Amino acid sequence: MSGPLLLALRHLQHRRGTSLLLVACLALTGVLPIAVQLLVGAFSTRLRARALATPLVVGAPGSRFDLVLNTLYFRGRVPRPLPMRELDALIGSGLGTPIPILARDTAQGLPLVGTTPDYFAFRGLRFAAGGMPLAVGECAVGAEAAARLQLTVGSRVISDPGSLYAIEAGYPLRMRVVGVLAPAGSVSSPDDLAVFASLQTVWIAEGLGHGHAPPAEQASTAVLRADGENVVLDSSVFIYQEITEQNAASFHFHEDPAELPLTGVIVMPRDTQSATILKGRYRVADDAQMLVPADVVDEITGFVLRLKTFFDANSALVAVATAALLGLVIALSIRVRQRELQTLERLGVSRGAVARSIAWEYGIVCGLGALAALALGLALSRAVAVWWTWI
Amino acid sequence: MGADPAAAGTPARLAIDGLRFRYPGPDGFELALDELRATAGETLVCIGPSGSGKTTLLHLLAGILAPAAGRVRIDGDDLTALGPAARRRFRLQRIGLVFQEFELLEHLTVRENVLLPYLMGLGRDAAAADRAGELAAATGIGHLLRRRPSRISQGERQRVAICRALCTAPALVLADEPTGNLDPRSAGQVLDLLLEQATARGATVVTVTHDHAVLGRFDRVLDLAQPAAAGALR
Repeated sequence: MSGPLLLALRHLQHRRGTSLLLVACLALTGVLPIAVQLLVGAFSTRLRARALATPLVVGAPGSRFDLVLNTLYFRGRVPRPLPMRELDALIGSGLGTPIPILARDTAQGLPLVGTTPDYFAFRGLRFAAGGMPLAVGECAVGAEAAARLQLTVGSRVISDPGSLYAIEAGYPLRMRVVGVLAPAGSVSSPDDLAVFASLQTVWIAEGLGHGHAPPAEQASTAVLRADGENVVLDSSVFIYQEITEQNAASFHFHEDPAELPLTGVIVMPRDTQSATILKGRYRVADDAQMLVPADVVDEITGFVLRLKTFFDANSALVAVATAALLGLVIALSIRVRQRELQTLERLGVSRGAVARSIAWEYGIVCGLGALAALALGLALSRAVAVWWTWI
Repeated sequence: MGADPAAAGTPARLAIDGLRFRYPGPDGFELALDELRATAGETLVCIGPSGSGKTTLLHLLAGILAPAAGRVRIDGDDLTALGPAARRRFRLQRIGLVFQEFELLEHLTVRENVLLPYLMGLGRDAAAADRAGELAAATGIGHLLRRRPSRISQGERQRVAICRALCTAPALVLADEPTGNLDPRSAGQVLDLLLEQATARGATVVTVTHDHAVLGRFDRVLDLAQPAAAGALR
């Protein structure tokens, strides 16, 4: 170890409190810009990666951001549902493979996603245990969802009622877990924190379908009106809250199947030409819109990056102010240590050696401050990323 | 000021010729010393009232100040011919300094303080480390090497400063009021130690003091208040 370095270390040790305070100040100055940098980077990368992996999205007219965020990340709500007939039309076009998504409700606080088995293949999702939810009343849960709710194959997940005062809403539905997904990747994905079920299961959970004993078995007082095959029962009728082999046949929908809602449809066009035709058709459609998720996500990240530019400018100003303050601290420290430096000069120590010692000292302080800022920034960004699990 | 007759004919370790120095300004103090010779192992004490130029003389001998005229040679090397950086280097290698306030670095251990010239310029040297140990043992601070200066007494601090001054085996030791901060008993002990260790190593010692009670311990007295008698052997 060189003499100037030893002197610097000894001085830092001697003024331990002051040195630590300086390191802490530098670390605190740097932690937020570093955390924001890491978070925005991770946010953009993850958001974009999922968007790039999703060729096209179809949904009801309205906010393009809502549609993409809901269909890809199961976040927020779309303003209007897309009827099932739109899915049928897409299937009928033969221009691509449509995967329906119905994601506007939750189960025990986690997104409840109605879809088809194609979704699992499309996202490359593997099952760590069990398999796909093929039957009505079954569900599969993401890896983080399973860990958070302590679910295994055979457990039950209960859908959340839409609103305490919405009497038309469905009863909570107990769904049987038949599959637990393996983690979707090294970083958390929206699929890790979702509950997947068939569209029929989610419609039932939403109250659009239900199961009960046949009207003939109901008490006569429960029958409000009988009109041919349509029998109107009052609310005293017992509605099944779990779909079992015994009662599965009793579940039914009163609504026109073509009008049952979806929140979006992911479309994998057959080829580029098919994609172009589809885009052309939807460009002139009034009742639906087709979006390229990557374009929408670029718009979202564009906003974020523009906001970040202001933050970066602020960080630059803070950095300049910190550098000026550090310079002042060094100047004052040199003044306070004038006698020590004078002694070194009188003994014959070169100015270069004295300068090297001071440079080492503040270099170490700055280095430790930067390392601490990096470590804290990393920890903070991870903590925030866990909080925003879907990022 | 006159020549030193006692040093005539003996190889001079310290040789001063026509030394002139003046602080800037109309009232600037002026120092003049025509000739002075001192041999290896010789001890000189410089006395005079405050403001008579004692410390200025030490600074000129150390190369901290550069004279307006004249020469200061140590073992034949002309200190006044060197530039500021070279004078620093020369001082670090060949001149040991002892100060009234000890001037130890509080954040270093006693051992590191003694080896400071090596840490900050002369480079690591096993012989120097051995010499530091010997000096510490000889001055009675061998057991304090790991302590910080704040944890030892005033007398012990000055012993550390003496060890630092002698560790480089200097040709010349300059001491500015080395006992000014010590009680009379410690002052005598520390001064004896300085002179004993320096002369044992063949170093010439020039000391500045106000304490006339210690003059008898030196070979020669240089009284700056009596220019005519300055340099006379007492």
